[in-house]
Amino acid sequence: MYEELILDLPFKGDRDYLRLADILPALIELARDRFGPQADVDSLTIRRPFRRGIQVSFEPSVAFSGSFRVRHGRENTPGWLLETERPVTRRIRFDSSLLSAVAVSGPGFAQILEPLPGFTAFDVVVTLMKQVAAQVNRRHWWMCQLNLETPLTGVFPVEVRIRQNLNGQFLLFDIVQAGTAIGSARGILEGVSSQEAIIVPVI
Amino acid sequence: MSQLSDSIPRLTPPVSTDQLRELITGNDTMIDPKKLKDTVSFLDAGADSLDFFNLIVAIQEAYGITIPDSDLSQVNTLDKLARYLNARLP
Repeated sequence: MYEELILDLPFKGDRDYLRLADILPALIELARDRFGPQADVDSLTIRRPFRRGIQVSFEPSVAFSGSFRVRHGRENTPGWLLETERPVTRRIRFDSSLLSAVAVSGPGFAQILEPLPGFTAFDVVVTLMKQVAAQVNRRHWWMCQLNLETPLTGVFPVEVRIRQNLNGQFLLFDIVQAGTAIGSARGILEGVSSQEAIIVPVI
Repeated sequence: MSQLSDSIPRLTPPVSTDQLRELITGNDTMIDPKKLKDTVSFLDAGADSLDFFNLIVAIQEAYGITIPDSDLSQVNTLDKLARYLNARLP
């Protein structure tokens, strides 16, 4: 049966797109409504920026711009994200410079030792990824994939480390929470994230 | 569809294109398995840049090999990738 699930998300700060850290908490909430309070989203991939409303589907779609997986009990359920024609009409204040200011960084890593009110753990991870990625290239990085072996909680310190740098265009990060690696994330340098821009002439 | 896991099982040579195809299409990817012939480029099979990145990471972890950036242009099909790996793996 067709079921329309829409994520009602605002733009944050001066951004005109929805990013991974905006989408993930809403997906987790949706997953828990649907599969129970223990459900979690352990994987999220965004293939391009979402500039309009997002529809969630648990049926395969060829028109998807993102995908995710819900872990609930011993089962995993895949889902897909589709960009709708609905405009994003809300905007909320957001200033990640506060997070950047308290981050401690060194070669290939950045960490935040204490939680900051008003920011989710996902906001922290994305800010740290951008800070570390800027060591490689100061252009804009698109954080496009998150894989969590265990759920990201409110425990600090949170650290992001570069595990691999491919051609200066792709970064693979480890996410470390209270000294334990809990998952990984991937970032792509802006300009190589679309299908058309696939690292030509490399591939 | 399944998502890419970071815990990729270690594979041993010789590397076959079927082995690589399984590694690729078992993951969350834009690649159309029907188009992924041995000599068709990953791009022509529907891959985007994230797919290629994930493919290289998965192969490096599965075979315990580092593919230098300068060699990436040599591995744009299953056939070329298998030959590249078989020439370098012990």
